[in-house]
Amino acid sequence: MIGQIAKGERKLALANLGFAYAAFLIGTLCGLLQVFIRNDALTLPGWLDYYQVLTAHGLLLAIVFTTFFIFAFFQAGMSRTLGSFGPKVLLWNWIGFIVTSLGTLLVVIMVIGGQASVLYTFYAPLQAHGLFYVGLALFVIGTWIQGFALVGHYQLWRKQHKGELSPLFAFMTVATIILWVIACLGVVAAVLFQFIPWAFGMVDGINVELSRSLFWYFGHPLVYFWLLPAYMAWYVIVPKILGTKVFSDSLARLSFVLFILFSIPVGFHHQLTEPGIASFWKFLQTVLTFMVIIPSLMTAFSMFATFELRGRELGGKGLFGWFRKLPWKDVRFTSIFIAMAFFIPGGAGGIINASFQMNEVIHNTLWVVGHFHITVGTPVAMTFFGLTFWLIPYLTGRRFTKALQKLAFIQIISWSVGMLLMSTAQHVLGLMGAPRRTAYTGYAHDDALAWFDGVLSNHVTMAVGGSILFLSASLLIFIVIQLWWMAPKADVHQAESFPIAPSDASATPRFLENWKLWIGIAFVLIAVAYTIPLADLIQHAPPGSGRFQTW
Amino acid sequence: MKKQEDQTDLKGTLVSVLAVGAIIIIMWVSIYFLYIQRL
Amino acid sequence: MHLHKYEKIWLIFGIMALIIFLSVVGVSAFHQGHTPSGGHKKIDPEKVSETAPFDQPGVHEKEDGTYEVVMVGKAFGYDPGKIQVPAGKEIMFTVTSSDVVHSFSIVGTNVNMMVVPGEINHKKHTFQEPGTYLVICNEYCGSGHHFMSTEIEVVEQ
Ligand code: HEM
Ligand SMILES: [Cu+2]
Ligand SMILES: [Cu+2]
Repeated sequence: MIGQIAKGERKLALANLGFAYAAFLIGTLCGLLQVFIRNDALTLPGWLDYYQVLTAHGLLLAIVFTTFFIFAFFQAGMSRTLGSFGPKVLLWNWIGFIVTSLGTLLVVIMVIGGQASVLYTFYAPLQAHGLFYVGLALFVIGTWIQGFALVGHYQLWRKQHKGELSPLFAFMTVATIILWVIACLGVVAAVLFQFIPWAFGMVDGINVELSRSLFWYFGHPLVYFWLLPAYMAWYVIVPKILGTKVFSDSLARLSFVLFILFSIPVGFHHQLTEPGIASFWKFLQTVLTFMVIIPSLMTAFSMFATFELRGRELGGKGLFGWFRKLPWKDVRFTSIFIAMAFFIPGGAGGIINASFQMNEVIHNTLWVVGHFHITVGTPVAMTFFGLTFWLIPYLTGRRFTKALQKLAFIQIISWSVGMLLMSTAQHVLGLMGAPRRTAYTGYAHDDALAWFDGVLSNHVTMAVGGSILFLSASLLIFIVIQLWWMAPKADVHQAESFPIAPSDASATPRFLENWKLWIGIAFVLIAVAYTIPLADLIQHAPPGSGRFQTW
Repeated sequence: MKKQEDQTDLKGTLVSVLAVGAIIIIMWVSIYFLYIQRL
Repeated sequence: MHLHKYEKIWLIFGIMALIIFLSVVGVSAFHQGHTPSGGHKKIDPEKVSETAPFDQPGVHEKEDGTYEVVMVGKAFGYDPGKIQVPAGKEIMFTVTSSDVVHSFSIVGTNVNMMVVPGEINHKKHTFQEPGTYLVICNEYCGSGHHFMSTEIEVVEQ
């Protein structure tokens, strides 16, 4: 079949997808429980605790669902754009997948066993079972193996195509993997050198502020690890669905390079209200954070330009006539368009969060929860839904039937409505001071009673939104099952394709693909932003903190 | 060649991104004032 | 690399906005003293109650007429509990933790401090209005996290 990838890669990508959607199902169920418990409308059985559920929710959705989905997308796309994997590339991808899965299972077992109710940020000196950290380490190592295997495939391609720029999809995949590997260095250092020796009792104390700083060195680029695959879909897949080409090959590549450079030396913007880091370094990283907004501004322009050019080609007139010509009936497009729309307030909120002292208004309030549900929870997640609709039938050789397309519309619309209700309520409640990560919200004080008073500013609204979201998530699982096992088999003419838009790289400067250059500059920036404050945390370390299990 | 490309009509795009910019500024300024008010 | 004329306009507009945002918060922080909470002093997290100033937690009036509030966060409460402070006076909050990470966050104000074991955090605030203020911990600290709260009574002087 034309455009179909080899069986080995199909199985591999499906394995990753299966894991992703299993995590999605359990994770969203946890989300449903949370909104009810917070309203005191549900009491968990004795063996289950709110913070256990919340740990599972954060890990399963933000870490497991995203990562496994991303690798499925990369594996299918790299095979599609660079050609079939050799046996070695395939084998190492499988090894990586298995290690990632084992790590995940270990972590999940520890959480279910009540040994690790430390939330997905696992801040010391809360101490989970040592195997929880071992699981995290395995997870990261597994993703590195898969990542390096994909980079190996890319290097083979480049050897065979000397002097050529790689296809845009492959370029972006490699950029994202580079970002991920550099980002993980921080969390790996913390887990291997701080958490594991401490959790297994080999050392007695842990340097808490250092561990937090290493975590957030990882934690911010983590969000770009989620976002960049969504941007890949926006840059490379969406124009093809529209029937056009990539707006500008060079700007697309430039924006990904800027993400490698500026998304890492910025982690202090999550620690703005913490002691131990001088204001100067917090502010320097705030400035660098603002640099990483620029490639997203470029992306916004490219997206609108793609839409307008195509809409005009299709006969759209006037200032906004092109807008009506877009293929709204194609759920593969509409889903991603909605995802983009959610990212407008999402991104704007992010600028606020990073604005130095303004962070005090929102830090650790429900605003933050609202914020990441309209960044990773919708723009990224709904882009992944939009990809799922064709990626699964593409891999299983089935058809995305008209009936399923209708269901898909209901799914994305209900997700949008639910998310609008839940996240708006969370944003407003956060501004009113409502805290995040709390099992219940019944503080005996007028300010806290007001959290149940408004229309949008109400914990009940949040729960209504959360319930709609869970229905939507269930519907998605139903669609996934249909596309995987039940939908009719496609013949040659009906087969789903993997849309990759043509991208004119003739005017693209070669140096954009000089990875050594970008990695080098990235490390220089990291060194500038982190060496002195981290050295200070190590040199002037307080006596270490002991092990606490307060859950 | 370049001149021609620049004439591609992207007025709608410009207006759209400026609207995005306006949303960013409005949200930012609102929270800034909230911060000032709570000083 | 070719940029469309409108894209140049957009990027210049966007970058100018970012520069203005940064200048506004930068001047407000470093010129007018509105930096977010922070501190550089360390403390032995196991000896908090023996180490000054936490050996005497509570409200202290200083010679220059300002106040210092010394607070210890611990699972799942604050030491001291409910306190009383005057309105219209500058108050320095000085906090640390004797166990895990907490926060000291006063609803309706910009006081929203991380309470980290081993570190001492500071934040200056002046209550303009008398009243009862709700203090909550908004950093997860264990099974009783949502019970960790107290009140500050701000009285007219
Ligand atoms: C059915 C859909 C969902 C519902 C009802 C839901 C609900 C919630 C609620 C109420 C919280 C806050 C709990 C608290 O702070 O006490 C939360 C936290 C969170 N959610 Fe969701 N959510 C959903 C989907 C998602 C998705 C798709 C993602 C990411 C891909 C996500 C990522 C997170 C993360 C990372 C947290 C923070 C966990 C923590 O504080 O440790 N959620 N969710
Ligand atoms: Cu961040
Ligand atoms: Cu707490």
